[in-house]
Amino acid sequence: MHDSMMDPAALRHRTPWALVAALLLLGCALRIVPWTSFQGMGYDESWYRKYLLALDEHGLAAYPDVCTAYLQDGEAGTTIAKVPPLRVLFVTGGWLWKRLEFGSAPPANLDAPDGIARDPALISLHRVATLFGCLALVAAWAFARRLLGEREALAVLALFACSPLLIHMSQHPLVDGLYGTCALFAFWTLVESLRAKAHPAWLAGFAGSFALLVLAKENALFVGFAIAGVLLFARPLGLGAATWRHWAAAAIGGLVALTVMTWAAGSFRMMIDVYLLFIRKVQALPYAHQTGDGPWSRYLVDLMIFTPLTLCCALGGAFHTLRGDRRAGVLLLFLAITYVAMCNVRYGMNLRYTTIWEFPLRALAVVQIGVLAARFARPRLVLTILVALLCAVDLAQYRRFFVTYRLYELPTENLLRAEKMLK
Amino acid sequence: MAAAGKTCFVSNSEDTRQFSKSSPDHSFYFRHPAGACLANHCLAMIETSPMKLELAPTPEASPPPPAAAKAARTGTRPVIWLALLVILLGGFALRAMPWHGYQWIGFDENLYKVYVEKLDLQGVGAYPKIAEEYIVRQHATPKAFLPPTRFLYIFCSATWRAAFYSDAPYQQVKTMEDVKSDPTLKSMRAISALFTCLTLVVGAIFARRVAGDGAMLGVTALLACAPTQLHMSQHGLIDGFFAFWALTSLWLLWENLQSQNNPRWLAAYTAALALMVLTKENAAFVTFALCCVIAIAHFAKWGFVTRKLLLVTVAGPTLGLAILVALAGGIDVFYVTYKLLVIKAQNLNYAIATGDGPWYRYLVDLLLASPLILLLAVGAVLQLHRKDQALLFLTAFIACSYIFMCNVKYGMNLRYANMWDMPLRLLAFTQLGWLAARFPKNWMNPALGVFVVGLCAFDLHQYQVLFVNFDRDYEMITSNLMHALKILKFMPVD
Repeated sequence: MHDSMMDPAALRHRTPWALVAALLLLGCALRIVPWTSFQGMGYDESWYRKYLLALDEHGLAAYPDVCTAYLQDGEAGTTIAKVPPLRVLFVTGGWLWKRLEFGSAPPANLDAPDGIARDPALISLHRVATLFGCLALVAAWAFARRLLGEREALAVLALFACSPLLIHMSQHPLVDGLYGTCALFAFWTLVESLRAKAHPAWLAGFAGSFALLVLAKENALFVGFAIAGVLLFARPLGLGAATWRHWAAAAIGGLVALTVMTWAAGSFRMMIDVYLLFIRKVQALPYAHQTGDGPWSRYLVDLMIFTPLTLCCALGGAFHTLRGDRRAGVLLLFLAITYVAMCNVRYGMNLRYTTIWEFPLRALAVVQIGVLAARFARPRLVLTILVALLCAVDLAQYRRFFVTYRLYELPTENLLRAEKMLK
Repeated sequence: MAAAGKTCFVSNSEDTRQFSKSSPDHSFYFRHPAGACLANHCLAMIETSPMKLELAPTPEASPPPPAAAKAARTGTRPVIWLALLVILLGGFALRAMPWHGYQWIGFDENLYKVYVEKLDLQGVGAYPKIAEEYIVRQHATPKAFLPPTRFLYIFCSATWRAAFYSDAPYQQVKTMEDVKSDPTLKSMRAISALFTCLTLVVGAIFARRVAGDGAMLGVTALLACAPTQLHMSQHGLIDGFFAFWALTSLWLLWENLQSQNNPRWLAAYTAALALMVLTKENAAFVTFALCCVIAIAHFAKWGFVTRKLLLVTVAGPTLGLAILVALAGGIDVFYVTYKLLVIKAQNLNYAIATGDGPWYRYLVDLLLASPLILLLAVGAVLQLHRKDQALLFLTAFIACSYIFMCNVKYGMNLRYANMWDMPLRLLAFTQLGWLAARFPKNWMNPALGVFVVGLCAFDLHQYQVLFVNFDRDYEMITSNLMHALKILKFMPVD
């Protein structure tokens, strides 16, 4: 038992399960109910769909052929960057869903009215994204409960449920929500496994979720850095001692994922070639040049436009943590490492990639709100009111950006136009 | 008590206790040091009541320790004054030397130039005629021109021109050489630079009064390098000039809250309010904000809210208004002037295109201009306690003026936020102080010094990026800031 984590026995007795269930339901509803105005198909979605259809037609064994085709397509200098097929978790997850729900149903004619809405492949990918969006709610609550306590966990769950970015990611067949969920699971299981006398299942869970993370998206590299940082600073952060078992679990998880990806690509060399091609093409992509550039503060600017109050509260929570509150220290470290890594990717900044920060930001915001609420005579009431306010603002932001303005891609220019700061 | 001066960078006085990690209450960090010596030796205006906060009727405030009285006599060490002098000179140099990307004359600058030359030529007696000409001209066009009721800036520029370029002919600006040599434009820019320098001085005094010598040095250094301040000093724009009067009014309100009915503070406060109203119509926001702050101060017991203070808070702006009405040549002309400005500005394409946005538009703009300062300041605001009265006072001012300013339709621009530069930097410095307190005792002051120097360097870099490298425009609108930072890109011209 370390000072920054709550006692599990103490937690069990005070859990307001009805509230937890209500908030989980609310979060799931916000993710499942179609709420977005954008009904078209995005560029990335179209490629995921193609990969899925190829697997559907030729079977899972055809994965290496898909990668070969990707490489052949990239050889031509005129072709632009496409999402790599090695985001195995999303593509195979979509394929599995498609087989389970639609069997061998043929693809819909996308040119027909409602074609996109009825296409089995797109629906399946969308459902996978939504499923992972809902799963993240459970992890967020459990993780926050461990770090901050029962009441704060409910607050984090409420904020997490109303996160505009996560709702958006669940409303479209996009990989970033899935990637964020895997990162959250890896992070949570890691922290749990660091506890003294933690059940070995946590370590296995960490290895498994880290493997899924690597299979989800190449951005897992950033989370990998953060996980290494957490392992290195586990003891000063009050999480417990990181042993060789934790490093081994991370290594095994990563190796398993690499093995799967090597199989999917056909060979290790092919896997590397796919990624190198993707990086080369993205660096030459005019759209990336146009929308992915900016200073180190670019993500902060985007977040300020997107969820201003939550960001401000999270900043307060971050400084509170820096001043000695160790409860959220691990979250701050995670944010710092991933931020430094992500803001240094040339032409590679986009708000979509910040799904991994949704939990840390909201947990830090709750730390700040908790500090403010504690100054009042009725802290619980004040905490509830403030959290409700933040949730309301976040939902209003979702409505503005994704319902009223029909936003799909999230470069800064689109955000500014939605908020009429740019006309 | 020299040890206290050594160990705590933010205050050199004895009423400031040792900074201890274990202490949850950091209000002592900003408890007022003995400020009397500044008054005795430098400015006669500030010679009253050295230890104000303890005089204020705050139930939480404990009586000052006996050492505090001794500290009041000890005063500020010469090395602090020397450091301040160096920082001020550095700040003045940054403001005075030409260092900007946009070299051409701006739209507003051109309009001010016309007013300055008319005033220089015709004298103050002809101001009603100038106001009437404005009405005629404004009626005839859908564009919005800035009104001549921004008297003080025009008057100061005309005075500067008369003093230093009295023989120079009036000339039209047609070439880049004209921009560089035009005496009117040079006068306007000199006034802007002068008043941003004065803002620096007022900021230093204010910081010292509310937070001690260390804060004075830190805040002055940060303010000296503030990109928005530097930008205002480099162009013939009114907003830096206005920020000076707004900040002065705020400071004088604080002093009046701390001293009960001191006639000198009251007179200075009245004058500052009147002059602020004579400067720009945005004075309305500041006045409203000050009124709200006074109301909050009364309930929060931040000082003495006396009848006289309330009276001068009304009298000062009224006096300014009366002078403006007289200058305009009557209340009807004055009313029509503002009515036209409001109507035309609301329909101005440029304002619609660039002045719109959500309530947090200023936060985004500030984050673009000085990200680290804003982050630190936001963090500090959320950690303030009831005992941090001075910082709460500043926060209340920012919040109240923010509420008014973010509700002006098509009327948001980072230029108008110049008056928040000093309060934001004091809050940021506070946050740095709290962070530095985590270091071992011997490392606290060096750490704080390094933080401040790093922030200054970063802000200067921001200025270079935003206002020197970016040379297409001098307006601080969001899209310009975004383009300068390469978050937005200009489409290539075919």
